[in-house]
Amino acid sequence: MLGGQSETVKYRVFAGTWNVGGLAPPDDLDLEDWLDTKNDSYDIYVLGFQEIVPLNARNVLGPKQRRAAMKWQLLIGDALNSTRHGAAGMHGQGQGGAFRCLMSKQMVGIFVSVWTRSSLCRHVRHPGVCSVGAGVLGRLGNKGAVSVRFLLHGTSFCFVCCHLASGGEKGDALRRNADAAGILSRTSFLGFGGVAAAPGEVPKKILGHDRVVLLGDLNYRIAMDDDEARQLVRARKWGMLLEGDELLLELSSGRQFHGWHEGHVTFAPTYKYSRNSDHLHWCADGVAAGREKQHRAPAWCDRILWRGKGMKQVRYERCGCYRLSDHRPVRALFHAVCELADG
Amino acid sequence: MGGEAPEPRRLTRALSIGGGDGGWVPEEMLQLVMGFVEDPRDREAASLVCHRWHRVDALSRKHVTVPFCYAVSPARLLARFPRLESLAVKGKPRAAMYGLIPDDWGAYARPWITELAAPLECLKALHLRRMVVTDDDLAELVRARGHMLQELKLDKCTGFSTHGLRLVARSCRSLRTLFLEECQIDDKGSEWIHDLAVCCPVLTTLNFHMTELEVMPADLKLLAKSCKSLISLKISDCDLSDLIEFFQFATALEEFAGGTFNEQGELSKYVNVKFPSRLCSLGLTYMGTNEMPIMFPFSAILKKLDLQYTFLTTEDHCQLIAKCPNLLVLAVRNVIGDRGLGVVADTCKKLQRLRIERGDDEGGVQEEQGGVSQVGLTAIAVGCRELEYIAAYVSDITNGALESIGTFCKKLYDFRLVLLDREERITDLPLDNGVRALLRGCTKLRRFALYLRPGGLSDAGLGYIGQCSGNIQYMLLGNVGETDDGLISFALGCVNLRKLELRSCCFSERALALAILHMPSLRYVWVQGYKASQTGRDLMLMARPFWNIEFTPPNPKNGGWLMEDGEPCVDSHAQILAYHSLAGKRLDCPQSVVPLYPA
Repeated sequence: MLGGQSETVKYRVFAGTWNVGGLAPPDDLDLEDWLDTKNDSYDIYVLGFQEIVPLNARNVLGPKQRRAAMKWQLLIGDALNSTRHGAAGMHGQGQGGAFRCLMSKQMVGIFVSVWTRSSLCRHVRHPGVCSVGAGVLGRLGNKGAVSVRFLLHGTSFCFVCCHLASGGEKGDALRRNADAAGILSRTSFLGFGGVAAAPGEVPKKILGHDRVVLLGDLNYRIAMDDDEARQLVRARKWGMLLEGDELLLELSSGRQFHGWHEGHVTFAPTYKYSRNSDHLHWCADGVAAGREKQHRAPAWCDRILWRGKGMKQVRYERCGCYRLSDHRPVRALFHAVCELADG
Repeated sequence: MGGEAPEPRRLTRALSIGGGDGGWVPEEMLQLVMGFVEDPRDREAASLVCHRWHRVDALSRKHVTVPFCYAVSPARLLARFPRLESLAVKGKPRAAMYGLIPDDWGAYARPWITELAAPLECLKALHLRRMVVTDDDLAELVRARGHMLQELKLDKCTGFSTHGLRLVARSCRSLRTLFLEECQIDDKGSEWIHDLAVCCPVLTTLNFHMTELEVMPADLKLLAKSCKSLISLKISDCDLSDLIEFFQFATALEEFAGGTFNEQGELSKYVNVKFPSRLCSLGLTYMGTNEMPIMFPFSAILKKLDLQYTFLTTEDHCQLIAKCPNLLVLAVRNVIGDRGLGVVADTCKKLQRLRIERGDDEGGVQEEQGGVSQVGLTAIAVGCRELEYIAAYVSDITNGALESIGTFCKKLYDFRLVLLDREERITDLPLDNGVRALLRGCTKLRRFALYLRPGGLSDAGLGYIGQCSGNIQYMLLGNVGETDDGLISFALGCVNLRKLELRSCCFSERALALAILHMPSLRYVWVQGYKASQTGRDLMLMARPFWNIEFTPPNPKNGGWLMEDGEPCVDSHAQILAYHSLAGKRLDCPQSVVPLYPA
């Protein structure tokens, strides 16, 4: 062995984001398609939800509603530990199945759930969670982010689940940029009381981590004239519509999202669909004269970005078969290289 | 002498009241007298006098509340009261509000609408609470009763969409009240409000507060123009700056809720908002320190104020409430603090209803002095002696505070107290003596709820609740008592209790069953978080005719979960639902519910 060179291992990380529109899922909702469980090749799942509860004043100001998060947690566990696949012998057990929930956190409508293969749990250290509100008053939880981080062997991971400001007007994109910057700067992982971490060993800030994934309903829209957008939507020319995508414009400008990467967006828009339908809401109402202004062009609101060496995005897809919400879920598969610090 | 003999017999007949057909008192007069007996229990008693009174009661009863939809069948209700004008039916257990009842549990409105909408020829008001109502149900309702329907109240219902509301709006020209608060409604467009404006000119009350329905300001403006008697409007959130024209036209409006300050600090947006001159009930969302002065011009005439969804600090509450001396109803979050309650006590001498809701426990609006405690409650008790309803989430409490309520709040009808888990140490536990004093002092109490923590009330205190329960008909008790003996002594005292909910208690199935047998008026009991067996075997001790027992087993699937703050998932606890029923066994139980029958 050459001096200084570490041994490494590669893990397959599934990152998913879904704005579920404030609706409780039916008990029989099967998440296996979204989570690609037939593939049975992932080591870590990080799932970020937005609007698991409606973003109304009661949910923002009133007591935390946990029922929805619990329901999603059950559905995730069912999908990952289903007896229909793999060697898992027990149905839905957090402890006994192939996958275990490492951590989960809810802030109003944002909910993050991290699952790893049971055999990996002993290599995970320093789990941490931080919530940052960026909504009403600039700090309440109807918008913002929930971030989770952990050390896997000798490599630090951080996943940031965002729900940024909505709106298709001029200036709204700038608000989203500012919210994202605020989240990155305000998120801070406090040390766990019981663990004496060496100084500098565990990063405090998001960007201090080795591998970072930022996912969620980022709410970026299409900056394009309505008539032009309408024609492109009718013709389903997604590539040309994407030329107006606010986030792609930001990424290419190298300003707010400097250093971040995104895979090629080769899928149809993820928002806004009529519920329980495959129809984009905009087309359905486009001809209604009085109400036309109330609806905006379809958009790719739901995105997954990453940064850090040793991360490679292998797949980036929208899942079209879930119609519960007016958003479609999105997933990305990463190969992540970990250094074996304890080798 | 022959002449005197018949006279006594005639006197006897003239004085008799009953006696079947051809009695002396005309049936019309009996109906008129019955009409003045308003208490449902008194009516029930009167109907037992004789067959004739039973029939007169049946024909003259105008309103019935079915307290639980599985307690009686629609057909039986129709046979008993064929000329109802108003019907209320309650569905799922109250615990559904906290996510403790599965969505497919039952409480379907369909049989009630299918079997009653057409035959009840006089029906003009329908009120369903926590039931599953579909668009098809609404379609059937308006087909049968659309021409006569004046009031439709769907309270915390689920299962329908704005398509159903459009049918209602276009079919019910006599509609005066449409109440949809806290329903889960599938939003397929806001045309239903437009339809209401066009088709329901006599509308006085529209409430879709706490739904997520989209609102078009133009439709509200049209509503105000067309429905000149609109007195009360409660909407889902809509920016206040979009309602300026609505307010200009809504000259009769007295009650409004749902306006939102979406741009805090942007006061120029709201400077032109002028509320109608008769407005005396208001709830605004996201109102902060800077927006609060909008209420000052008419605060003195306010009778109802809802501040649950505001950004007001404790100091803001003090400042605003000091300007509201005529409040009858006040709803706040516990950010009001004890100091704010002191201002309420000094200012609001006419207050009848007070609700202190809990706020977000982390990261919310900054809270002063740790919320509401015995200090605030005592001030309220001393200062607001007209109170009929108190519901409070408190961080700390003492026996003395409860004693003060018993001493001064002589009109109290409904009292609910939840002790939050926030503070590790509570000043004064157990609350046995305070609870006894409150119950002894508040002799008009009909509804009582007490949700504490382990150690909050001993077996002795639980016995006091039973002994002093008086005329209380509904109780919710959480984390009370220590042993089965406490529950038995409680039950021995509850002569008039009709409905009981128990949560997070330490009692065995056997004790629960025996307790239920000891409460002669009990019609409904729901229990969660007790010492449950896997089968519910000992619950059979309570088996008797006309009594349904439904057991929801513990769910080990949920047992392993912890939320991030370490709180165990309450869904894992077993549940019991037992109730008196003339309808027999439930036929639509979901898989999660196990009906228990005698062998």
